[in-house]
Amino acid sequence: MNPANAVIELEKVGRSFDSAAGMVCVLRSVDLVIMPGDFAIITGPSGSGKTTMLNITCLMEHPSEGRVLFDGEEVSALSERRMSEIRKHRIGVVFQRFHLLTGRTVLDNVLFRFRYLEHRPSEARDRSMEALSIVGMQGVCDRSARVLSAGEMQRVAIARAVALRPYLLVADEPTGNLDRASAEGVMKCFDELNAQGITILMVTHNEELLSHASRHFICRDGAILDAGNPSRG
Amino acid sequence: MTETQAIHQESAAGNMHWREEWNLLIRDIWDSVKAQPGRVGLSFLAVLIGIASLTVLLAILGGLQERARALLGELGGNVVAVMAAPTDVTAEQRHPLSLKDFDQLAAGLQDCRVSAMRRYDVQAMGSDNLVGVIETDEMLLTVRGWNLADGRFLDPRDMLGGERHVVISGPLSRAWNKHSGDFVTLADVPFRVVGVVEVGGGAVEEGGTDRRLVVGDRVVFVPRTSYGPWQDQDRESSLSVDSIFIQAPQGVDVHAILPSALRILSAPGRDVSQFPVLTPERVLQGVKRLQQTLRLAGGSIALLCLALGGTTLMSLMVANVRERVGEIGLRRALGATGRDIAVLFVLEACAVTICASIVGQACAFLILGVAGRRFDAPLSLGWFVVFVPFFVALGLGAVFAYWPARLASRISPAEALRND
Repeated sequence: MNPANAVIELEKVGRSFDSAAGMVCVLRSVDLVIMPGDFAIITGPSGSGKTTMLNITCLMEHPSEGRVLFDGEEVSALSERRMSEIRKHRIGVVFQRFHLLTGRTVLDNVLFRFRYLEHRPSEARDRSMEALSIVGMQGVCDRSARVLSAGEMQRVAIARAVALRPYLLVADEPTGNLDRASAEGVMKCFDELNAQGITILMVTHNEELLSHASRHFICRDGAILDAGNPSRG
Repeated sequence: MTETQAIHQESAAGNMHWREEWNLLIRDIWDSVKAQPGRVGLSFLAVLIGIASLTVLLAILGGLQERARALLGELGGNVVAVMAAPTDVTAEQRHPLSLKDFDQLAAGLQDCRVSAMRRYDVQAMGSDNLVGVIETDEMLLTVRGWNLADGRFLDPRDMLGGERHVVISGPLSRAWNKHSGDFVTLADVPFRVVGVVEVGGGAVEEGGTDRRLVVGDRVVFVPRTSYGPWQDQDRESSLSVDSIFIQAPQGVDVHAILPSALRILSAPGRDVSQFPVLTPERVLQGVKRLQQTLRLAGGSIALLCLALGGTTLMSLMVANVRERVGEIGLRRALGATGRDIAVLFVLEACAVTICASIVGQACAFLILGVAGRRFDAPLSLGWFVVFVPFFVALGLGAVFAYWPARLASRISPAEALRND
């Protein structure tokens, strides 16, 4: 594994917050390397710093210390505008709470991925329909997002995240609000996307999902431990 | 592909991008309105009332301004009018103006132009309708600054010879179809028309204004020396005049002339302060007082309504930011910058205020239309009545949405998604 080719690399990354009780250290000296084509899952108890690490890897938060390299580019001290640019073009994010615009249709929600991009409407539509077909939702593209089940909502959210074919797909507890069957459906989508070459970094509580991952990291007390490839036992 | 074709293609792509961007923006705004119809409705209503009051206020103030300007036009430039005391005062208080006063003023104020007039209402052209016959001299046209439409005004020969010549007003010329060279009958006596004059601005012609100053539309001018049959029989009365106009020479303020004029008019037993003296300032004084009262009262109401609208709008926007934290986080995660978010919130607020402004102005114009017809209110519906409230509404949206928009733009994407 040559870190020079890494999708994302965290070097001695630390993150602390100011609070009423003083400084709270959430991440301490974290090292993490995600290579192209990885399906990495981070597990760990609540409050262990998983989501904070995910936010740093998808450039939604600056680290307090250490370096972050995205596709070889140092991004830990980039301006807000430049970080927005990278997020816009290269990173897809799936949230636990879906964050769909419930007043709009399924297709409009996926098209929202292109809201801050310059794309021809026809091209954006084609790409959105393609993403919906990957998650098996192309048949309900005109349905209002309000009437979807939780599992369907998450699949639409995945379609939105991958409509632009991201360099890195980040998912924060994507099955956290789903029943077992829906969770399986969502994981199947991730498997397919990973098989198509999309690098995935996912955070979850659910250790049953580790069978889908090619790499497993454990987050505990703000530190991270590489647990290797779970499919190899 | 030639360079020109490439430029055209690029320009077409740019246009399409802007159209698409515009559509997306409208969609975003419409979604936000749909999400909170009650609050948006309240803000809309408050801004609408404010803009409607502002529009009505501006129209009335503009109308008063125009009326003041027309009054000044009626009086003439740099002119002071000295009028005989009103006829409803007691005999002791009555101080008639006479041709002797006119002659003394003309002799005493040699650099000034002086003109006198006396008005009678007379039957003309055999009809029952009365017209104003104004006995005057050759200087009146110049002093009052009216325009000659045809022929000439009265001249010194008319005055010397007491010719039965008449200059008629434009409206009468059109109504009677009479022009220079034609004859008209005044109290059954034929007079030859020598000219047609367009009198005054016509803004104050009907009622409320002193007819010794404002002559109105239906008037004719005859030489004072023509001694028409309408004149009073007694000698003293026939020598009296209604008003004397004094025009100061160019570069001299008419107010500087006034003390000399009053000194000339003063005589033992005659209180010159009893003569109503009309200067341009006095013409404007009443209008200005009304304008000030309106500006204060109407302006306060409009300002309060607008402040109320702005505050409601701000509270709507703050609630919007709080309720849409998740959406803000999503937009940021999809690549929107803080500026994009701020612009979205400001545009949403401006969309509400602009729509409220359009409806508010429509309501105001409706009110003004009815008021104008029923109460003969002085109204002006100039460009400023349309544009000022529109830009006030736009500014209101931008100013009152600035702080909530700034708040929204400062929410970090991670924080927004964590706190949703």
